[in-house]
Amino acid sequence: MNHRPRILFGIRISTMRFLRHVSISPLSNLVSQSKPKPVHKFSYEKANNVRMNSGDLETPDLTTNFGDYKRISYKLKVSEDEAQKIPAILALHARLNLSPNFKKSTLVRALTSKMKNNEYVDNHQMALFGSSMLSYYTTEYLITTYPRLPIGILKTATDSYVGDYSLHDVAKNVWGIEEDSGTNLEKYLSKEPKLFRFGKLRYDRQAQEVEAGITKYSISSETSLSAATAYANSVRAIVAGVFAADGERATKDFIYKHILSRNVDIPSMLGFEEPGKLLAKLLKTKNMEPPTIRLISETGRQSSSPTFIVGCFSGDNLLGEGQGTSLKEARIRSCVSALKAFYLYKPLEPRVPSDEGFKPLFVDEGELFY
Amino acid sequence: MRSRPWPPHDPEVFNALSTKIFRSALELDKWWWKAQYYEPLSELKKVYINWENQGNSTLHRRKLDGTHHTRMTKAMHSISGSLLRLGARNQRQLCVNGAQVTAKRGVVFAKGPRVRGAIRDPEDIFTVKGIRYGLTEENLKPLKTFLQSKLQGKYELPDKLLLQIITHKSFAHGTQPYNARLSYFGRELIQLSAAKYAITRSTNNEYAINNLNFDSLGSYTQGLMKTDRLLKEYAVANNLDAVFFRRLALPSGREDENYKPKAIWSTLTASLVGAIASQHGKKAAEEFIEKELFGDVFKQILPATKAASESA
Repeated sequence: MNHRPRILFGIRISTMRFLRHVSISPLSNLVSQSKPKPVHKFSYEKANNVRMNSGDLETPDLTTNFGDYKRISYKLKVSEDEAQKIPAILALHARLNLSPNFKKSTLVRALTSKMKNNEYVDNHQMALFGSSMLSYYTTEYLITTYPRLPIGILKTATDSYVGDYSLHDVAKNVWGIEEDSGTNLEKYLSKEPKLFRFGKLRYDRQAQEVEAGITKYSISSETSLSAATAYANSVRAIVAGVFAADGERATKDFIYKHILSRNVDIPSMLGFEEPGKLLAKLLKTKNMEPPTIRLISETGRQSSSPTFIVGCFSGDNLLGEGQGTSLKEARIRSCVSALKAFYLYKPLEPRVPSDEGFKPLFVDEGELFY
Repeated sequence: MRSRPWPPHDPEVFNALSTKIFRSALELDKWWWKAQYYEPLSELKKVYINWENQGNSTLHRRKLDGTHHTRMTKAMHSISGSLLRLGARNQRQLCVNGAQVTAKRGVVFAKGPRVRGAIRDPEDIFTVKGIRYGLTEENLKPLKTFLQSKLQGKYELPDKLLLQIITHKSFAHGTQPYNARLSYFGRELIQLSAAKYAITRSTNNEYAINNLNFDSLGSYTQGLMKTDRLLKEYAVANNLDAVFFRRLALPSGREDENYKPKAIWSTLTASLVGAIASQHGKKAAEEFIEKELFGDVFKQILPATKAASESA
């Protein structure tokens, strides 16, 4: 009788052990793999961070010998003589006012994207270089011209200068680059020489118009690009080509002439949810008197269409003016204009750090509050 | 706001503090926040009693009752390792309805471990590992000696900018000048320099354009030249982080010596580059990058074998 409880005890222990070691819990099926957090990146940031597959590259033993890297796919190249015979290339060269050092064959390369089963040299890595060039000069320009632009706006503005969509616009509508569409049969029937296709932008399409009004999006491979990216890469590659031909100084001029001369509406990018509060906080951090709104002039208060003009003051300083059909509207507008005057501050005669007679920049202290 | 005189100019506030009857807890809360800028708690207590007499709950007693400070003090003394700082015990002569009232108010700040409901010492956020934020010679010394050692002080920077370089956005809720924009600018320049460095190496590649070989761009090793990791390693190797103002990972201030997240530490180097570019121009900054960043530190972080770099 004495032994009985002991035996039972022993059995219980072994059961516990068994249960512990062999998990039959279906929990692992229930817990799904967490998805990678989506990171928002602007298209110019993506273009700056392209990584090559190691399978595409012939890497030297000493990986820092950057001169010895080779692309495995490169076997063919359109020669300079052949490139001279393509009318589209000659026209584009003349239209962009490129220097004689800029070879026509480089222009052909700039219009050739990385494609499947393509043995010709392509613009993939030239675009990567051109992208860093473009984003640096744009950032430098913006940071010098608007030293107080918040970083979010700075990035948005950079993207609207050198992002895929705006460069697409530059390439297609300003420079008039055409893409190589149409079947081989059509080209044969129109008796177009085979060489002429090198004068157009060539890329693997992500979407294709099967017939009028029907677009097929399902074509996707590693090399396929959207139209915007392909066009933008051609612009980036041309920028890299200018660098190779004429050096950095000329590239900077080229970027200022063709990209930074475009009109980007930066003031409209600033949106304030509570301008009054924001302004009060800003003045507090700058040790200025709190904002007061004063009526400057008004007309037709009793009418159906009154107009009020108010000023936003800190002490005796007029920070901004606003007008509206109600006092409230005018007040809010005056706060917004005061805030915009602060964030869009422009130094007189800004000089960028890459200029010759450069003077130290005004460096802002950063957004003092969120 | 704190310097506003009593009685308040705003008659609405004055009425509320002396006579107003609150209809809801929310309303009281709103007025509490409005009224806390005014000194006499006794006045506020009147309001509270007024409010409580209406049959409301005692939900807000702790906030309004002046005695809770002393109770809290006792509570906080009982917590081991907590330091208390008694501050701003001020006396003020006031004139309410013609009568002289002397209001006393003691504010107790909690230091060390967090106490629910207690006000944290504002000094806390300005101190990182015992170093007080400020434009002092001691704080700037590590960075200053570093810059003086490079090219006989060619890259010297103004003091204010130096302090901005060693202040991360996370420090003191971003209220002090920080390095985010400088490091953004610096990063762009580092990226461009890395690309230029790679393509200008001597080459005999037949597809090079004007002796510039673009084929190495986007490779693992070339990508490494502009990573946060390189920038962080450079900052650590040169002891740029000896004084570095940022938010500590734990409120207790205890932090592992090796805990140096590259996203934060890389801003030190990047903003230094950005600051050099903004004060001495692009050319000087590029020299600095090529000589310093792409030198020894870069070789140290390279993987030992080619196979390792390809698989990564």
